[in-house]
Amino acid sequence: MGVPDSKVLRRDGSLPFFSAPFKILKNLYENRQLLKHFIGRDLKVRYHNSILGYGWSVLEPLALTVTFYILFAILSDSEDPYRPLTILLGILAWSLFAKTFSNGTTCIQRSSSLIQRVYFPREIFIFSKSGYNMFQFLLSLLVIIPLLIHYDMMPSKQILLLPVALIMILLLATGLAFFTSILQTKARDIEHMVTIGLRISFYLSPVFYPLKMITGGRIPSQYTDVYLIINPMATYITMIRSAFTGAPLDIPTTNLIITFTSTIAIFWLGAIYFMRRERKAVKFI
Amino acid sequence: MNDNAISVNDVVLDYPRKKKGVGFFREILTGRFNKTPRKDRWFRALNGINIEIKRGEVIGIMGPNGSGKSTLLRVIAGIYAPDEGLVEVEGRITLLAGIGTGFNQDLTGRENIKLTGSIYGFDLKSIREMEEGIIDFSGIRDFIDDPIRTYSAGMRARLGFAIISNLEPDILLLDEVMSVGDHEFRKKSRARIEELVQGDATVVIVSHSKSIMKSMCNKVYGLQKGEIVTDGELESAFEFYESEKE
Repeated sequence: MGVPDSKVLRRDGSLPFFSAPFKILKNLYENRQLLKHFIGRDLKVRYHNSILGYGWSVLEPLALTVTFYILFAILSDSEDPYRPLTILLGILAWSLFAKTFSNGTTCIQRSSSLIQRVYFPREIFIFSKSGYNMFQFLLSLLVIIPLLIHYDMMPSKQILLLPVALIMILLLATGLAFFTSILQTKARDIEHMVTIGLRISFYLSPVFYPLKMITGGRIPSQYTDVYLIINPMATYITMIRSAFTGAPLDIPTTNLIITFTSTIAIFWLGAIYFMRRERKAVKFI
Repeated sequence: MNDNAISVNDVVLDYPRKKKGVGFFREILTGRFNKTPRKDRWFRALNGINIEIKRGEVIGIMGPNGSGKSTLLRVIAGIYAPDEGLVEVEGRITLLAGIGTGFNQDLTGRENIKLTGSIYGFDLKSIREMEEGIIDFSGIRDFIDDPIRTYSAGMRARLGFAIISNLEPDILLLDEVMSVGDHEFRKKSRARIEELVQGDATVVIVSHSKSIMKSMCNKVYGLQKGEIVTDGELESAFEFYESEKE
């Protein structure tokens, strides 16, 4: 049996506070089977009934990359020998963040029929969206292989930046979704706010341009420091690029520490908020 | 070890009156946030419920619409955490309410069996063992590899009931499920429920049907405005229910 038969379910008024993130991780581990099923379901639903199937997870970032590449070739005179790779990695990393965040925002409200039928820890819904988008990211990452061969790039030890950045992106997006998914049950306006916010930050983050265009001199350095702190995605996207190109990570260490700390804090606070509000929020769906 | 399968102690549950908090932003904007009195925003659905249900018992709950019957089942199932009080449940618990929803429309019947099984906490091995039995019971083997969205409502109901009733829960919560589906399906599902009731499962039934209560339940409680108003004797519950009708 998957669960012990003498499982005792206790639900009462007491709420976890500082232990919330650990409780969430424990729930995640205990329900890993279910998590796997939810991710599998989302993947199946995505590829059923579509002729290209997997092709779509590759075509969308590719099409965007080509568009931005042409746009840059016309508009900009800066020289970036790896421009297609830069743009493609930026778009892939950004969509991992944006999709995890926006799917996570709506997933509690959209799962109302399931939530009103059976109890299991509700954070599973959010984590299943994180897992699903992570899976999609890894699948689409395969398209950079031809580019790597073309540039004759061999992964150096810089590649270790990749897993760190990916974990941080997931923590950030999941932590934010902990807040928005609860608020979304009360006011459906939240998902539109998230959509607009993501659209704006898409252009404000170095997604289709390198970070150097922002930190590269035109803006005084105290402002670029602020920029890096309030936009953690700038750091993570740049880390992913460095992981493949082997270029040194051009971000001060203090900034890196601040960014990592704030991301972990967002996840931590989000987990506490979610654990405390989830039980009330499900009454609104 | 205590032999209570379910114990509900002084449970209070409030339900929001405005289902969607659209006023939420307006309240923030106009600075009136949290100034609406609590009793206008929340409605007390359960008001100090106490029930102890022993292993193997079959309990009925009757009451007028809106008296909190379904809410009580949801609290027992853990779907809503009580605002005050404590609910303890020992064993695998299944709530069966309004069959056939909660399926994923784009997955096939077979895939939905697997998904539902895993939602209820079964691992892949035990789901595979149950799969054939479920398909047989549902009687829709010919369509089991088609997506659910191609099913008729009746077929969905059959599959839903087949899955839930074959999960062999320790505790089964039934919310008005014996009044859905066609005649033949009702007979079949009622027989299956009787089978479960006669086994060692603990069962809580919410129903308006006196005959079901009489034939199955050890105890029947009357529920009114979120409070239990009868002592568990069948006759007093029926009497209460009749008086409510008038």
